[in-house]
Amino acid sequence: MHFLVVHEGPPSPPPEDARLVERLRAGDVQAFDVLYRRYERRLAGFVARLHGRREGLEDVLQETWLRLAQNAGRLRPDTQLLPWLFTVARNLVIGRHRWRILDADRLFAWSRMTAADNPTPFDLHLASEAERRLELALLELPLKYREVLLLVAVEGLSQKDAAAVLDLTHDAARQRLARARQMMQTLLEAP
Amino acid sequence: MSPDLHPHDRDDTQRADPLTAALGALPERPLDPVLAERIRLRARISIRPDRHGALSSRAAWAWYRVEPVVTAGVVVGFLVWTFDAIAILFS
Repeated sequence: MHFLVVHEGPPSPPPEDARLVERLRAGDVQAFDVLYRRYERRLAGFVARLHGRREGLEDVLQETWLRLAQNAGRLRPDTQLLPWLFTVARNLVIGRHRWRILDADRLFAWSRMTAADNPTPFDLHLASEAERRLELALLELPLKYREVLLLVAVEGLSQKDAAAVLDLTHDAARQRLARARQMMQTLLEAP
Repeated sequence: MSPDLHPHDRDDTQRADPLTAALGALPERPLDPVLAERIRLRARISIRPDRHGALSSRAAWAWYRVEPVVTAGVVVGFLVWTFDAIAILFS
């Protein structure tokens, strides 16, 4: 049919996610549990690294999962659940950082203190000094570079999905990612 | 990846550079299990089905697929009707 213009739609979610979305839309609590077990750890890691502080971490995660539960019946059938969760969590973190912008110096100090003077259980379990340096370098990246690097390099999203999460064009996301990589290299090469 | 792909079209996730490999190998940062379970239990009690349940879910899916075609049909139909009306007025 030549008169129909077919537009490229959003990327299809994984088949397992598509079934979960359908069940979630119908209010299936078991589907939520499966989804939670599947993505809870990845979401927690993403938020912990993006947020960069322990204070408020639980609130962001709680609110993200709560929004999924509250919006379960209104999810689009083609919803990609992991990017959806990342988008909500990222917006919540951005909101928290926006009103704390004057607190940036304290945030920076906290990131250094965490590794040096007051290690968390996580810090103590870092497998190597290289991992510690990576985590600290991530924390020192400005938020807009940290988020794109986390989504693509750490969480393995495609640039297209990451651009959608960040509400950027594909080109803008790619440029921001390249800049983030440069900044990370500089931070890692610093003595 | 196709070797003749323009460099600007390449997806950086497919580059095996050491930084990406190192970042991709960072360990998980799981929540305390008690806290994770508390979050799950709090959230799941808020789950509500869409207004008409599973049947509606399938209907919504079907509508989602056909809606662009129906919309296009309505628009084209309206334009044809308008064109006919104008043609009759000036005939």
